[in-house]
Amino acid sequence: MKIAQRALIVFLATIFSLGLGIATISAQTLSAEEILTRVDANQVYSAIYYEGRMEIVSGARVKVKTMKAWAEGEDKAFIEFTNPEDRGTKMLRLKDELWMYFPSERDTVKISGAMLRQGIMGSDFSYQDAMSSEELSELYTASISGSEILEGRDCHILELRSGASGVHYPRRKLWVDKEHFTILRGELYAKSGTLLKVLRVLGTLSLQGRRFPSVVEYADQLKKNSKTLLTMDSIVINPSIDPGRFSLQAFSR
Amino acid sequence: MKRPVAFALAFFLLAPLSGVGAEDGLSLSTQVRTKASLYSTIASPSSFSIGSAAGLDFLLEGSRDRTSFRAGARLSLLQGNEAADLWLALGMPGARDDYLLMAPVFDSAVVTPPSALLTLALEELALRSYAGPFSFEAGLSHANWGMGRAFSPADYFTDIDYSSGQPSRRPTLLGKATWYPGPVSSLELVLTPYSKFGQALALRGYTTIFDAVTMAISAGLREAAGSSAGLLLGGVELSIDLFYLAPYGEAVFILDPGKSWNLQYSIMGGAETRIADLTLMGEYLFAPRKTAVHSIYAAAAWKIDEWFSLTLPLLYIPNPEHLSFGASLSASGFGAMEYRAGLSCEKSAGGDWLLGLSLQASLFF
Repeated sequence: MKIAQRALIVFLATIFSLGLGIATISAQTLSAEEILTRVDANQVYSAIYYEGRMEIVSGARVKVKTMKAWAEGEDKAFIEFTNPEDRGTKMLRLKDELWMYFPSERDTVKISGAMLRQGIMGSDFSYQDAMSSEELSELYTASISGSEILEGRDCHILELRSGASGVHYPRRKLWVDKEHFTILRGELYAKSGTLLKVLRVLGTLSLQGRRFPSVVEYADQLKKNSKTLLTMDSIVINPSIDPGRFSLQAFSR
Repeated sequence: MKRPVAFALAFFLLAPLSGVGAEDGLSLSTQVRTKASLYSTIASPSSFSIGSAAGLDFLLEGSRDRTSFRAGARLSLLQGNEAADLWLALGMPGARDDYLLMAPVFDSAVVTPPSALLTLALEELALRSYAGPFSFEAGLSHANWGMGRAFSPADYFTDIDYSSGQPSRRPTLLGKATWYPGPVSSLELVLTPYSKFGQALALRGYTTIFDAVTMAISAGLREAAGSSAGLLLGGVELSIDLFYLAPYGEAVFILDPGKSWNLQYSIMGGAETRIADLTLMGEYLFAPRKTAVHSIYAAAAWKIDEWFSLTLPLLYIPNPEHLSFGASLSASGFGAMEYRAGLSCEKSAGGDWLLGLSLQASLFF
């Protein structure tokens, strides 16, 4: 989960971060831990800005949300929704705290623990998904379970397990591009072994000589025929962000 | 009606001086609303009344550099019982302040409400600016103090509207200066020069402690009719995140130095929890005056799926006495449309029970 945070830090991005580094040595020689470290290391951006479009699909119905997002470091993220129904709704994440702002009543609400398990704005992302900030290599013990060609890309299949308390997905299975060390697919499991969520990268774009995940699909397996598609545009890496952006003050601007 | 109009004129004269409305950002949001309702008395002999409402909500937002503004208005055409309900509400003190236009013009001497009523109400009109950790705001807006949703005695400036069954805070004319010493801490000074509660000035400190505790302390002064000394206000707000349960509360006192330091106080307690897709919340307000006053709000909200949700609210307020409960089914995400069907049961101040059915549709663009 950590992966996403470095690159996108904000909730949606958190999940899908794809490694951006270019492999300079044969990936075949790397251990599982080294691969995971490279996946983490790819997320080297100190800050990011993007404009996004989120399509929440349930059966034949589609709900569309658009947004602007800013993120800095691992702990700071700010999102402003721009679609007509939610225009002006804002989210602020600071470490493990999440705040929301509703413009109609100028109301600021701290999202409580009881509410963190629900999907953000009706999507397949929970608030908890948005708030994970640890690096994968810090949380999980990894092993290589095989290789597979996925969407034409040669991938390692990594099995990740964690016994740490507070980890939302104690087991993960990741398909990591052998050349770019980007995650192309992920399966997130509960401690019981139940598959909870599946993420897929459906599109990338080239940024500063690196390949960046720009279209990501996230599917909550506990919901029937449900998935959320995030498309990121206008991505700016390491932009200059006003420090006040990551405070409650930004809600009142 | 005069104050908002005067303020609106002053606002739009001053706004260009601060650069608002330039190309940095200007957006207009619009919502079209339609509603049909039917009410019936439960006791015999039963009687029926029907009504409808159609409206257009505008919200204009602009920003340039460190300054921004929001201007919102609501144009409504009400008929039948919808017109009658508003006509009755307009008789309350301060209820007509935010209306820029009304046809026919409200007349308290007219007992029989008109069959149709056209109104244009100002919902928001505020100018904001910031410099470093300081933010400033002036205009028709919300202070939003307090932790409560339905009852919030710590919000010294705001009136809460219960007419829709969902409590919502009414905007008020205010001036506000806020200092943010940290990301989630603030010190805010608010002045309300024209409030139905009396001119007030108050200071509030707000912060989060140990990630799970949010608290605020406030103090202020408010003018009081018949008192030369004014009233002293003080309040404490607290919310605790216990993960599965989030209790919160407010305690407020009002001291009147001009009346032998007469003390009035209010205590509000509430909690919210979530079980799977069911969210439960409840609030209780205890405000002893000449007699003990108890107010209760509770709501259960079930998210059926990403498109449909069911809400069951219950509200009891003693003055004026009002008891209502019901069910509301909402559907959203159908393009830019939202739909709502509501069934309510309401006991009026006169003791009559009314059964209501309403259908609403809204289009956002």
